[in-house]
Amino acid sequence: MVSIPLKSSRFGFAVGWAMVTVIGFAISWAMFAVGERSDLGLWQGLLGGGTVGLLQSLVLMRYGIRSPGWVLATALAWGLAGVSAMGVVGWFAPVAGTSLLTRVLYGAWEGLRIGAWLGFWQWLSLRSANAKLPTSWMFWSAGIWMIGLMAGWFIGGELRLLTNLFVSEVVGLVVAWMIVGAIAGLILGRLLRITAPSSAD
Amino acid sequence: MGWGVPSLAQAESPAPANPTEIRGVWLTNVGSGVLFAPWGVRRALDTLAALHFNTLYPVAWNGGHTFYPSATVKRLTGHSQAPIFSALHPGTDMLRALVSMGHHRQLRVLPWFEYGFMVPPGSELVRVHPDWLSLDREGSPGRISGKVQSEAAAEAGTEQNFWLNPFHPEVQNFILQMVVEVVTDYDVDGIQLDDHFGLPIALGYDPITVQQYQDAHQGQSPPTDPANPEWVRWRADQISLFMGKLAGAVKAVKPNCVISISPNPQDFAYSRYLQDWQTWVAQGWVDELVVQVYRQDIDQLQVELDRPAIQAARQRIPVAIGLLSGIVSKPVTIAQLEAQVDVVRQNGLNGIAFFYWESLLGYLAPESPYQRRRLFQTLYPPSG
Repeated sequence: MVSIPLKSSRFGFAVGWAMVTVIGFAISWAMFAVGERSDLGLWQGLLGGGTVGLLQSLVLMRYGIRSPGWVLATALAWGLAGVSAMGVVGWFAPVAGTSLLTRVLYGAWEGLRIGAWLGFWQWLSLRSANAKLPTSWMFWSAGIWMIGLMAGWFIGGELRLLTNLFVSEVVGLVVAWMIVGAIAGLILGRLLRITAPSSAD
Repeated sequence: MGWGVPSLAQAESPAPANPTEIRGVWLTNVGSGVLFAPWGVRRALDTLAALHFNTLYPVAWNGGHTFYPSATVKRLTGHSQAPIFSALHPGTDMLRALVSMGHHRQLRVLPWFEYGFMVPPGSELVRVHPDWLSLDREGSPGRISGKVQSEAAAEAGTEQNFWLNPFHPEVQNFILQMVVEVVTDYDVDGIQLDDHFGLPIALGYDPITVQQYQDAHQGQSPPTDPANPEWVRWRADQISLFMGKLAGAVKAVKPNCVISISPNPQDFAYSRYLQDWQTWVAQGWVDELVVQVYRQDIDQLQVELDRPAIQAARQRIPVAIGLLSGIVSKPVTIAQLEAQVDVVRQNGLNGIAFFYWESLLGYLAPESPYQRRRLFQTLYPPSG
């Protein structure tokens, strides 16, 4: 596959990133269901994170960024989150009956935590790659996940109030992943462009 | 993943024995992604087997289309199965894969001819054979109002359907061939007909039926009142005769094939749909009865279970109850489900079938799939 120099891409990277992130989340449904915090643990984190990470690594490759550790880092980040107090945040919904305000507040807090955690592992995985991330990525990632989860959990909660169906939470999480994928794609692309190879391999 | 072609090991799995307690689920194509998602069926069957369910009723006939490659339907419409289904599963015989996967997991598979005589107005079958439609008093194929049909049917849009004339010899032959081809070509454990294997009482005024009635009544025309008791009885008897013929044809091909029916309670089925299933049971044409009792009120459920027709059927064949695990507009909570299951079990019936997968253990429920599964971990021990 001929790679595209990241420096010459304005939005292509971001669009690709957003798409594969959401697709990876959707593919994970083939392996396990979305649930509540206590329903999901190590294996779901490893599988879900690994799937999203694998697809994201294809986009990195497409733009000439060799990132052998990306998939492992993403899988490990989500897997370890699953056995910690954080939980597999991207795949669970707040318990039924949680008020919309609480959803937004917890969404912000949980998003900050998982975003920073994920950002750390992603930063780590690219340390030995041919393009590097600045440490500020961890803060960006925390902020992105905060926004995404706040919005997703809010929308999921609104829909669940309207329908009394759990599928509402799945819709909310899709929104969260779309927001995360889109913003992360823009910012990650910009940050990676600084150190990315200037020509395709 | 997905449907895939079943492995040899799966293909050789023996058919499961008939269970002591029916633990069934309907798999439908309406409001449900289970049959369309590439991983849907395999995951559903894995889950159901792990929770000790034992019976599947996958849709085989809905909306004027089959959900298996049908030579009978292809001859008429040019489509061997639902086009969207073919597009999503190219080169895959869904029913064959499902039977194989089901047997591998000790699940009985009884293809469900959901639509019976019902067809959508825009379907190819209606276009090719408008002469097959049953007509109302005004000579119209009369879209049957939602009042007659169930809420679930209304949600699925089936209240806007036409009905094939069950008294028309060609229609009977068509339905018979479709059922028999499934029994012949697939290693199914049985087949299931439901509340649409009948006819709304407003219909039956087409020339063929009128002629048949006149032949049997010294030239007298059918009463103008569709609810006339004699007129209702005559039409119900004709449908019963066809049911007997169909049962005979199925047993001739596969004597052990379970003939299952899932009608509404007898009074409703007979007075609204000309479906006299009590007679079918008495005649020995039916091996398994799953009465749809989609009542959320426990007292009403109990009233239905006490009906004489159900009690009489229990003397002859296994009788299970079809419970509604929810539809999009009416989700059913775990607590409601549990209470209904308790009532059915306390009454000593032979099991339960749930309508349908997505609302039972999928996302179209008030609780998460994990919470729903935990209920069945306690309800359904390995035996059964």
